[in-house]
Amino acid sequence: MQGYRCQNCHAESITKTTFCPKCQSQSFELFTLPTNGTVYSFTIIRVAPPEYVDFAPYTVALIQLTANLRITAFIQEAVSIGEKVRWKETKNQTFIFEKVV
Amino acid sequence: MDMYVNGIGMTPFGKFPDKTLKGMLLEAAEEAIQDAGHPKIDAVFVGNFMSGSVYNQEILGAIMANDLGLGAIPTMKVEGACASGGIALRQAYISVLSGEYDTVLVAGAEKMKHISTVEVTKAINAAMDNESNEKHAGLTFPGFFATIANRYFYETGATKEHLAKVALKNRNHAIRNPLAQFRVETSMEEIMASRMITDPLGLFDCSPTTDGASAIIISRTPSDVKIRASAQSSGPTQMQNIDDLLTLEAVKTSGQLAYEKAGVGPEDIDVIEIHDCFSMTEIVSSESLGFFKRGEGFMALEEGRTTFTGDVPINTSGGLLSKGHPIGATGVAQIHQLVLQLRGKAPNQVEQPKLALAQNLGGTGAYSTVHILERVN
Repeated sequence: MQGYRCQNCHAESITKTTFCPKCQSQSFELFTLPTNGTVYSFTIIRVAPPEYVDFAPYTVALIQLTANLRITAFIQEAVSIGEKVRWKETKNQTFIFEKVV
Repeated sequence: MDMYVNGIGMTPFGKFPDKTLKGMLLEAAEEAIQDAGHPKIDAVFVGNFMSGSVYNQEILGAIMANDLGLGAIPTMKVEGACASGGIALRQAYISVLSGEYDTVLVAGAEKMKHISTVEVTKAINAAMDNESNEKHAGLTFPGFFATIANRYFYETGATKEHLAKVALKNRNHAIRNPLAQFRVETSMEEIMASRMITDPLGLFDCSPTTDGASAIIISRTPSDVKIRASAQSSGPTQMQNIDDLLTLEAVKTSGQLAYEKAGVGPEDIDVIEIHDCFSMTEIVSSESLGFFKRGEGFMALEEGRTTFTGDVPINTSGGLLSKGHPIGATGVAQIHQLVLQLRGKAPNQVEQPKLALAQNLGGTGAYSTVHILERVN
């Protein structure tokens, strides 16, 4: 997993923008994200969009990966805020995480 | 330049298999035009989100001009997901402000009840960025506000009961609103026990799908309701890009801009319509708009401060949760209720309100409009 860091103001994001929303710079560097993180918040989706019905109920969680960066990830199991999780794989543009056992 | 609301109209909200989208738009528009004393209309702005994707009907503006018999005047449709109506009003406001038009018709409508839940969910999900990894992770709109709710609970100590109190309050308001979709009495027990949609949001925490339309006339001609401010802001289109999950940045910014333009603060507002697409949304937006401090909005529910008899009356119409949420109509219908309040003729009438505020939200906090109205008679 890689994130974008603004080389001018050091803002970090998982998504790339044309201009840095904080300082308008166009200089970004790709950096490697840690694979372990903490659950910042989550929800358990029970009524799922058509293409996700087979996975329901499933968890979508915001994972705190660095001090300034969170990403939205799919987790099959239930989690709670503050719990340690780790990257399992990236499939169909989806970050899939799992609990650290 | 001073601008006023001269007329209002609204269809009942609910499930109407026998009504067409055009029919509802015309019904609401005719009522607004008659209410305004049938002035000459210079332009039409229509707020609508998915007439193309689920109803195979566009050119709503031209159809309205034609079928109302308004002549060769210019028209347009405005899309901004659930904020389509609020943005249509704001664009109409700006067009009058420019001096180009004197009197403008603003309408909003949606036809949603004729299709299945699966189809409507898919259409609504068009208001997320299709290329984002979070849409691919299976996030939904209720899921976004549920994620906010779990963090809110964690940081503030609020519980699901506080969300239920929002749903119960808005239902109790809707019971007395003849145009509302849900007018059947409910209870804390029924709300708390309802089917879970996405933890912690249950069925009663989510706004329904609705058929309906609303319309208003705005102009430079003085009336008893003046538009004191119109403001709009954008916010992150993705949850993972939000700095503070408990602040809806677009709501906060649009509120600040509107207060600044009107020269008033949240403490001056007497009656409020907030975009309660979910029970959680009403609480965080009431904080982002400055009515309560961050993380304290839930306490107001314990004290009943946001009911129509409280000191911060929110969603006296019943809100999206119980009045209903025909997407494109919602932002216009909020104004409908506030004008009734300022005229002293509203369901759940607040005692002699002077200033009223409407906030309309689109996407995952991607669009927000705020309008402030004042009684001037």
